[in-house]
Formats: sequence, structure tokens, C-alpha cells
Amino acid sequence: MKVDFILNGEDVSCQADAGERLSRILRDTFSLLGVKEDCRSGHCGLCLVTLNGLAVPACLVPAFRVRGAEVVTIEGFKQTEDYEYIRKGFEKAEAEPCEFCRGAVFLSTAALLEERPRPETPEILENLSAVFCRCHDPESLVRGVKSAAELRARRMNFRANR
Amino acid sequence: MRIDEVIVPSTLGEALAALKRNPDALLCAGGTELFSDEPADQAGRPRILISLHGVPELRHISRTDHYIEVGSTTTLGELLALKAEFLPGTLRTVIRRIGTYAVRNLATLGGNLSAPGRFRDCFPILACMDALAEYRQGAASRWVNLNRLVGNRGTPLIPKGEILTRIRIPLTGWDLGIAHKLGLPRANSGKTSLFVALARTDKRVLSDIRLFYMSDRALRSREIETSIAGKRIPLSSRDMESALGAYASYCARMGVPESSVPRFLDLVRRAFAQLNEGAPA
Repeated sequence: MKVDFILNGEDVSCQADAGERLSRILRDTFSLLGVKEDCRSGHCGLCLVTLNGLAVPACLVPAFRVRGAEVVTIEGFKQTEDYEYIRKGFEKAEAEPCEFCRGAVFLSTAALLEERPRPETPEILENLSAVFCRCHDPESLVRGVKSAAELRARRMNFRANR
Repeated sequence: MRIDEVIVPSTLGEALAALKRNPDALLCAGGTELFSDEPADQAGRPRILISLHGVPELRHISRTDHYIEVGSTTTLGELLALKAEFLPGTLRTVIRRIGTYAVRNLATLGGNLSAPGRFRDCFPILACMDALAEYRQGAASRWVNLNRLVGNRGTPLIPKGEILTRIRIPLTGWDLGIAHKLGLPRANSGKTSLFVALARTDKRVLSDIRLFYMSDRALRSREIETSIAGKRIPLSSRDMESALGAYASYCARMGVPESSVPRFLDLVRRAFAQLNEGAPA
């Protein structure tokens, strides 16, 4: 089937089996290798993307669900201001995730901060549980998210006061 | 999995008409079940799929003083976003233990209740709460108590050729609500077990109790529940041992593997202990 959708802000189209996983389409057809495929059951979170603004595991999204939808991968998210303050926040807290998990952790953090600009630690842990990161202890990641939230809040205040 | 044709209706009428034309079609909304790694789930999957994710009537949530009515394609994430008074606490606990928040952004309540092969996590708690499911076929609709969807051997009797449109969840309060998920926390429902207990007391008397254990089959005995109800709280050792003996016989009748019985009985024992702990002195 033909699948038309918006990928990282651009209208794209591809041929795919209706039941093909979005993660496979993104990697094989669009060479977006920031979308990792590991567990293929939605639990490791390494294939996290946003689908119409909601963070979802791309390995559980069938191709037919993508028609007409908007998908953002870590490659697209990297082009945004939001990515920058999250990256800086984690850097400031000395909590940068490894290259493998970074995309998913940052996308997950962005989704959380969109909903809860000042998240509490349990909320952060709940959010981070969507990404099975083996390379960092949860405490440092929590520090990173809090630091990113701080930077985001400052930027929002700055905008509001301008 | 290979799918030959996908029908994406934009209204409930279109969805019902599509199902009438293709009575063997697979219904889905979130799509997460399509990638279930359980071999039994993949066997015999139809090649025509009707995706209900674009049907607005199936996403509606409404509330009265007595119940909340949830459209079947409401995601588990949307349910968790409801205020505390609109979603019973034990149901919230069960949903929070399903996958991660990202999975819950896709998975729907209807999908959780309609998965083939075996019950998923929301079923036991909703069955204990006497939730009703509305099924529609053509112009006809019917409300079914979820407990009627359990077959004789404890396996699901999911209606075919009908669309699950709404789930009506009673908002009546319970004095005790327990939900234990056993197995790896992130594993798919097919690899976990779930024990649910709800109880209500009235003037130191156990007025209502419901116990549901779900593994590869559903275990719930209304007969034993009725025999425990009406006892004074705290339950005496004799009452508890008598109930546990009845549950052991029930497990044997249901063909539960002997290795699983002690775990089930232990959960029942712990539910009784918790009930007694909460009883007024």
C-alpha cells in the first residue's frame, strides 16, 4: 500500500505492507537510523518517535496507522530548539546518555516536559521507564531531566517577558 | 504480519457496514496486538483488517453519578489522564502496570478486552467491577456483562461479527482493592498473571467479595464468593481455611496445573489477611 505522511516536517510517501512496522520503514526506506530496533515489543523504547505529537514505540505502529499522520524522529527533533535545551540540560547535569539511548531519552523527556513542565522525581522515573537505558543510573537521568526542565522554564519566562 | 486489505472507516456506520461485508475481518484500533509475539495470537489471523482508530464515536468518554462510559478506542494513556474520581483506583493501578507510557499512548481499552487467545490485564478488574460492554452489529446493539465473556474452561468468548463500542464502568466504591501482577513487569500479558480482589464491608460484615485470578485461563467462582460474603470481619481461621479448601477443589475442577495452585491460594490468603488488617478492632 502507498503510505503518505509527514516525516520530520516534510511530506513523504512510500510503499509498504500494511502491517509493516513503522520502525522498519523509518530505518529501511528513509535511512533514519536514530530509530533503533531492539525488543520489537514496545518495551525497550529505543525506537521512540512522536506520532501526531504523542511519544510511541515505532515498532508497534503498523504502516496503515501512519497514513496522513505526522511523525517526528530524533533526526527531526534535533533540528528544534527543544532538543537544544534538553541536550544542554543533560550536559549541565553531567548526565548525558550514550549515543545509543540518547535519542529515545531526549524524545521521552520532551514529551514529559510538554505535559509537566516541572515534573517530580516519580513522574520522571515513570517517564524514563519507557526507555530501557542500560548505560546510566536513573538518578543521573533524573538530574538531567530536572536540569532540562529548569532551562526550559527559563526560556519560557524569557519569551513571556519579552 | 501480512495484511491484504485495510479498511479505515471514518464513522461508526461505515465501520458496521464494512464488518457486515467482511464478517471475518480483524478489528483493531491501536494496532499493538498485531505485533503480539504469542504464536497462538498470530494463528488464523484474517487478512482483511478494519482499523477503527479514525472513528470519533468510539473515543467518546461520558460520566454519570454511577458509572463512566468509555469508547472502545480510548487509549490506556487517555484513561490514566482522567481525574481520580472518574477512574476507580484499582483499575488505575492495573492500567499503570501495562507496558510503558509510550505503549499506553497506542494501546486501547477495547483492544485489551478483545485480544484473542487469552485475557489481558484490564479484563479481571473490569469483570470484578461488573463492567458492561456494548457490542453493535448493524442497527442492533446489546450490553453484555464482562463475566459472560468467560467460557467454561476460563478462556475468552469474544463475540465475532460485532464491534465493541463502549465499556460502562461502575463507579461504586470498594473498601478493599488489590491488584497483583506476577511475572516480569514489562512482559506481554501472555507471560504474566494477574490477581484482583475487591471487597466491601458493612458494619464489620463482609458484604461483597470478588476474587479473580488470570493466567492462561480465568479463575473466578461466584459460588465461593457468595459463601464467604456475609461472614464477620475479621474472618476467622476456620472461615479462611474453608474458603481456601473450596478454591483448591475449584482449581482441580478447572484443570489448573498443580504447580500453579499454591500461588493462587497464597494470593487469596494474602487478600484475606489484608481484609482482616483493615477491619475495625
